[in-house]
Amino acid sequence: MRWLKISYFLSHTGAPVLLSVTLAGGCHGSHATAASPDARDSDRASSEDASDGVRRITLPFDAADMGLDSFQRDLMIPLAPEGGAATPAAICADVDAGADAGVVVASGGAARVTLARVNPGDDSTAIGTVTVDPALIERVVGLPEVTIVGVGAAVSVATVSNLRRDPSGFLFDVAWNPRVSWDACHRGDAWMCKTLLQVRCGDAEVRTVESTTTIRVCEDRNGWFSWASSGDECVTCAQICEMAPSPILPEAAGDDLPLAAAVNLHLRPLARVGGNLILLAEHDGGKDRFAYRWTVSAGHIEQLAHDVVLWRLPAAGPAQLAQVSLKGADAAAVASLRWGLAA
Amino acid sequence: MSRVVLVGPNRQENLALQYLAAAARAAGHQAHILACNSRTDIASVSAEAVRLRPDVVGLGVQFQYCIGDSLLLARTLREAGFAGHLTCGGHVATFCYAELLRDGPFDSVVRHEGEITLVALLDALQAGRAARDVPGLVWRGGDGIVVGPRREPVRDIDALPWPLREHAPYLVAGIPIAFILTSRGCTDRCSYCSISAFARDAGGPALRMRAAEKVADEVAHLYHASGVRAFFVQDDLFVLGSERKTCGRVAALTREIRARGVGDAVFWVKGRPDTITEAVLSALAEMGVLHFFLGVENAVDARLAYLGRSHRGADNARTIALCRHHKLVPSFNLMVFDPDSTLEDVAQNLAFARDNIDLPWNLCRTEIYSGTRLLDRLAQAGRLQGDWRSYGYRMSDARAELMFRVLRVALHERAFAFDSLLNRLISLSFARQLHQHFFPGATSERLANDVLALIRTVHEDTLQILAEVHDLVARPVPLDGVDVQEHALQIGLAASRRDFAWHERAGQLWQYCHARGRQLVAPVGAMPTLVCATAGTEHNTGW
Repeated sequence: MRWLKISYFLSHTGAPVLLSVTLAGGCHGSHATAASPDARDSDRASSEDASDGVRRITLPFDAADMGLDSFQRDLMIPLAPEGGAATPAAICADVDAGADAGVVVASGGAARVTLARVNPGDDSTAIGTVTVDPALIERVVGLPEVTIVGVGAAVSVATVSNLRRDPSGFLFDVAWNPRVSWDACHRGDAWMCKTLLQVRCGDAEVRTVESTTTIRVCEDRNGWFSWASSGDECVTCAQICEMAPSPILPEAAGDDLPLAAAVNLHLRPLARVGGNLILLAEHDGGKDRFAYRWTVSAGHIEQLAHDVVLWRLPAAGPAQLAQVSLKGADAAAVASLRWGLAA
Repeated sequence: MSRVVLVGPNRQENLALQYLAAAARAAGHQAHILACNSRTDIASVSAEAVRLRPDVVGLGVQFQYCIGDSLLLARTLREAGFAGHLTCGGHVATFCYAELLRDGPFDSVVRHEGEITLVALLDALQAGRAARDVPGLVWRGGDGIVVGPRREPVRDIDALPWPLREHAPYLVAGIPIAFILTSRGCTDRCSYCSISAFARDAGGPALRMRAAEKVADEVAHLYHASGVRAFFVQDDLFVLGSERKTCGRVAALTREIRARGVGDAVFWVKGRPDTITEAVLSALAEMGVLHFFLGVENAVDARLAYLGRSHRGADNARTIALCRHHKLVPSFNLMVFDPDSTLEDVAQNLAFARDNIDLPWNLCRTEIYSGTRLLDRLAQAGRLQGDWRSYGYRMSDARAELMFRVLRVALHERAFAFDSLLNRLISLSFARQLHQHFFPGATSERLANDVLALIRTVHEDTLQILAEVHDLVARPVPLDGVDVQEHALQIGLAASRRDFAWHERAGQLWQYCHARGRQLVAPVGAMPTLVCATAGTEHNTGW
């Protein structure tokens, strides 16, 4: 298991400012290369490698300019080894092995929030359900903290109240006051429900787990809005065509032709803090088999491991592109990510 | 009353699960459908399934590529605490039941069509009986598995309840759409096709058609109650082998649909090039068919014969010309590679694609599915690679094989991924057709021109890449493996960089169609009047 630690603070405007990113338990080094088209020396973050497999990137900032009035916060993200999947069941794994529980862990799968209307004709209130991963539900202590985060009227006027237990998790109420007009201009809008759970690890240790669920505004049978959570069907169709899946499979080794094996590669955003994006090159090709090459269309990148980079995006502007390529003895792959959210 | 949760991919509706759920409910059981489109959905889907406290969870396993995720989902359900009956069905499950029961924590497998078998299973569990001796089911027994008696397919498919449609219709270009079946099965014997293999293995008639009146009832219900204006006919064989029978069938559908007050509705249908004639296209145009998914498959006669197709290359050109004449847009998928494709065959397919550069198309390799004659043929020849989870092969022409391998790296994001740019352009082409049909005028024509310009640009670039890779592997001097890899990576990275702008453009046009369609389409119910200032740009949020 690898751990990604993100340290940041909130400026007086409420904007998160990244201080450092640390990857523990990963390997890194000469195997990977990264290219940034517009990196300047003055923008460069400082990097340091510790002897125990820890790599840290510290970002330059001026505390006075930033109006530092908040203390540092840490976010911990468990990462599987190259080519695997982290599960909520592993959240206490390091505590069971003797580690300190006092860090916040981010886990997208620990809890999932869904929203439903209380009354069919009332679109100013909703009932929320927090479904907690079965591996964690018995470990949750007390009630979670649920907040709605993002931008726009649907976020700024939302109030969460009346948190209570439910057999598979928790329930809460949401009210929008003043009432939000859910018209077509909001269709496709997305914001997040952030859930903080106190999870008991070991006999006495309690760990805070942060889980976010994207809520997207969709349409229901009558053309009225509905809320779709991550993984739910949204009736606004993204694609319509005859899709003939062309599976990519690891094929027989020992082939005399090049590219004998295939690898599935995806570029995943792990976290964003302000204009900083942490990317994972997720693949199924195994560990230490590939040379990684990272490129971005703007901003610059710092490497935390072969498969994990910090992408420092430009302050503003159009969508940008990140690419990673893998090259091994008998396989190669390319993956790209378009990123268009303002920092 | 038993409770069942059905889980499967749902990228553009899953009629198989919807028919199953409807049958279960009609028999007095509770049924829910959960979408699981990728591995990242498994944890949340498992949690939701357990929360619903079902007696039975059924997984739909349609394609070979789904097997890995289906097994993981089954194990995750068990780890999440589901102790009830776990079953699965679909094309893969029908043929690979022994492997699924061996490698997954399933209690049973449903073979062939599942509506009656699922209800019988739910009835048995409700009555406290063991889930065995149910025709159509395979279950664990003693030290091995027990294959129950085969269940004949339902002869009168109109006796089945309509598929469960609990959600609002999908929207394409702001217009409500629905997916329907007017028949089941196929009379053809394409060697690579798991659909015809499934139908043959099930026994009974190869093709069963619904009565035109019953189809019209469903179309009219969706049109009047849900505001659906575009219908995707998902039949495996909508256009029949006989011109006379097809024209009679289409005329009856048109007559019955109109008789139920369905006004302006359009259809997307599928057909084979050798069965499309002037009279058939006229009848389809009269019905409101706007788009044809044409089973071109390949441009070379020898390859079509190898694939067991009933048409020849000349049929492709003739049918596309007919479609153009009737202003029907055909889209197609070129199966450029198969086990015995040569580089010369590939070149002929690329020439065909260039001849139709303005049409929406994509390309792929012929894949190997369980139960097919192609699988048997490769196995007998000792050429079948991989295993039941994912079969593969090496082409007999090393140059064609190498070309595919380079393209697998270089064109994965452009052509082979689900959300590839070429697939998005097929979608976008249909979206602009909908606007030209429902909102005729200068704006729709400008939109169509913009979409066509984008399609031409991307196709031109794709054909240049294909030609470059073709020339690379056609060199008389063997290529060094490192050079090939580097070429593949450089081509892929450059293509993805160019795709960046084209994806943005496709996203803008798609969103524009959606927003404009929502403003202009006749509202259903109490939909408010809507005005959006600008169309948004699709972004990759990933959160």
